[in-house]
Amino acid sequence: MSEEEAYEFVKNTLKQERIVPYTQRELDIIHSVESCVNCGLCINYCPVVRAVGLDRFSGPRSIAVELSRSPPEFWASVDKIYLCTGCGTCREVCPRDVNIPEVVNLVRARLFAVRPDLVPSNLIKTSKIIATHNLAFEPWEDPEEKIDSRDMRLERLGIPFVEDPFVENAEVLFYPGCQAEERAQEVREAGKAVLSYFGVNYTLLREMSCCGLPARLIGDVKTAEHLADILTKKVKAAGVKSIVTTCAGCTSSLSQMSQDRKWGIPVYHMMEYLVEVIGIEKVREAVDIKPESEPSKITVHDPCHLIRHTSRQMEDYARELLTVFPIECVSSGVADSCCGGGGMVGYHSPDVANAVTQENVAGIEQSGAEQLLAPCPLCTAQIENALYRSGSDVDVVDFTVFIAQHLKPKE
Amino acid sequence: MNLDADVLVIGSGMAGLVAGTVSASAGLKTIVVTRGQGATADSSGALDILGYLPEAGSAVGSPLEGLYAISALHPLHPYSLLGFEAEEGSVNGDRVVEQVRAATEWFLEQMRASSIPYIGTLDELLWPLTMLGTTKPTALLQKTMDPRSLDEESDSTVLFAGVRGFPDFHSSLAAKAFLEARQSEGTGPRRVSNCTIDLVPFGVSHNLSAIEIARHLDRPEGVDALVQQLRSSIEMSGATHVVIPPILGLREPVARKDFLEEQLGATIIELLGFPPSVPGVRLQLALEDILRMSGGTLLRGHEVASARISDGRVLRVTANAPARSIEIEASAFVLTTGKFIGGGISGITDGLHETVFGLPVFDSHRESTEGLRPQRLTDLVSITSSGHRLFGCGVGCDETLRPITSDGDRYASNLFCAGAVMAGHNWPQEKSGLGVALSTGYVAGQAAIGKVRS
Repeated sequence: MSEEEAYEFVKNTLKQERIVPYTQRELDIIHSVESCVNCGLCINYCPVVRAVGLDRFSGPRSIAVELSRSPPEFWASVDKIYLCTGCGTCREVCPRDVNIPEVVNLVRARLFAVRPDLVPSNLIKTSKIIATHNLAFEPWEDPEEKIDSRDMRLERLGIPFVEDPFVENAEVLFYPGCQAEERAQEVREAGKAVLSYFGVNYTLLREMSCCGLPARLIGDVKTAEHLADILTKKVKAAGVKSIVTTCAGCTSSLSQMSQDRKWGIPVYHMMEYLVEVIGIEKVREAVDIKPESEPSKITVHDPCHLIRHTSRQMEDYARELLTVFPIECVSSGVADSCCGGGGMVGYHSPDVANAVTQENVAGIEQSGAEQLLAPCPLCTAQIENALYRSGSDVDVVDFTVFIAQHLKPKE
Repeated sequence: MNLDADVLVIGSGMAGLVAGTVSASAGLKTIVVTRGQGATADSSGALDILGYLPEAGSAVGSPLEGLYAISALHPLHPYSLLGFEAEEGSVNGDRVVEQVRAATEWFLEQMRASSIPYIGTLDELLWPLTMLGTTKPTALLQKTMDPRSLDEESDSTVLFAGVRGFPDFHSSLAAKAFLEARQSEGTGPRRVSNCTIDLVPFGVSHNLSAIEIARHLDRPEGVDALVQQLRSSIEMSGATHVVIPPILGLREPVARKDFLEEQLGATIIELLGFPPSVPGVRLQLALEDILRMSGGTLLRGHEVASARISDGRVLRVTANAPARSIEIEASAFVLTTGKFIGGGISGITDGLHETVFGLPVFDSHRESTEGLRPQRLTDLVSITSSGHRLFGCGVGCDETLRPITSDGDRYASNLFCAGAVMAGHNWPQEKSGLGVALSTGYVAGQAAIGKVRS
């Protein structure tokens, strides 16, 4: 047997043993676990532990030191590993930089590959939807209804309608993400309204496809990679110089993808684009302020995928943008606390996801704010539902929608 | 987008947050950039200044006495650097004490307004109890851990109360260890007993962590449950003192202690615990608060990966977040990245390395550690009175707290060091960790102000 044949032979036995070899990238993540000193500081900060306790979710330390070792432990981890919301708080406080959110993804990837019977059935269903439609949600059956829903949202929120631009040789690709494409259409419309207002030469994708983050969080690496391939082709074909998105998850996911697949172009969240590229002074000139009809106090939610998976500077960008409005920005004390909507937890364990959101609800309610702004349609939906259920009258608005609502009419 | 500041502090433990607060309080634009939390958040919350002299087995009489001894015997110790007089070429013990006292009083003053007031002075050692039932020497303690009434009142009965399902603390073992130690010393309480109480933050009494219990006790229903549970045990044992793990809430531990004492008529004392530590998190949060209140900025989630140095000055550093990278420019820089836990010093097979600037790493006697495997710097015996040489290793600094190169020259005119990243103090053996971090952080903050203003 030649060396190569021997290698192939061993590889095949791995399959029988239900072992999925690590890729180089995954090995770097595994190596980060080696520096764990088992101090448990992460437990003190994990929002899921805070919400449901260590007995229900054994916490980040247990993921690093117990659940990440080898296949048998992977199978045994199934009732814990899917409860991580992937917020990245543990990685951010970790003295040793252990990459626990990515360890969670690689354990889920192995469960999905060889023990799909153990994966929560709602996640399997969702993974099939993603694989079938290249979107995180089942598309609308009736396109007319989708348009009606969009128009209703535009009218209710007072956002101007802008035709979808499909432009050759555009500078910027506007990528709204699945949630804004299929559900929170007002965010997609608001993104177009803002970019058009500032005269940005931008285009949409003729056929929107998912960034792959939901598939990766489920553990469906094959679909995630397939979606990345599709998107890479589309981005290359569009020939754009940058990408702007309104979704926090898409921002971190596309930033990573641009780096891994050498797109060579920057990915911006809309807030970042407004501050860094358009410039705060232009935004100041563009917004129309009617103090009498504005909420007097606003508070902000900072999505995990922006601040902990992209950069904490996004917090400053949100607050800098708000300085152009004559509105008091109050602190809720929980702005950077995970909304519970991450990690696909709500798909199979809504009790856990909603328990996490309760921390946000309590902080927002005691802040005295009349409105909450969140620069992500998923956080917006999660927090809005929780506030509604708790009987709160705090209004929740996506950040891009808020900007679009306040643009001066053009002459 | 890039940032600029007058002072950039790298690291957000005790040293970094103190240096940053001192600088921001002086009106300078101050950023504290941090990758993660470190040894301060992992600490027991006790602020050791000096418990044992370097390589000595018995405790000092008081931190004050220890500081004078260090000044006389160990000129390269970080404390000694604070009192080094270049003209004389020697360490002035009075100057050392003056500096440490100033830092300590500043800290006590800052904490007085926080939710975790500290007690203690340089003039006496405190001997708080640990979750093992043992004691350790320290200088400053969170008020909830004050052990002094145990020694003052000889006619006392001490009740060790554990929580069912909280695996870090075993009340009967701790009580036994405590009793044995006190009997051999012939001092202390008349009677010791123990109990296990039920606190169920999430409806179950297993797999509990300290933080869950602490958050439970931040809520009125949690404290009420604790009062009820303790009341019967106190009645049965006649306890005058109740010692409990450090779980009295994250937010208002002193108010909780006062409430419990009023309800129960016994003195409540929190023990020192292990990581993951509730008092450590209280301390970390309180320090972050004072930085914020002084006008400083804490930039989380950014690892300083490289620095640009020209003409003997640090110009700027590059800091990486998970998916972005920024440059931060400043007039003065303070390096407070800690040692092995914080990540300021890394030890791999080819030796010890300072992780941001690549500064040379020395041991406590200012000998180079270049090329030495970390294992070569440890003893076969894990606990010895002289400690492991490894923990005394770090960056060598001159008396201005500027790091030096292997030739003994200043590395940069505007870079200062503070805390565990410095060589010369074997903190686990000396019990000097947070005290060195506080004192050098305080002085480095002032040095950075001086540099910016000059």
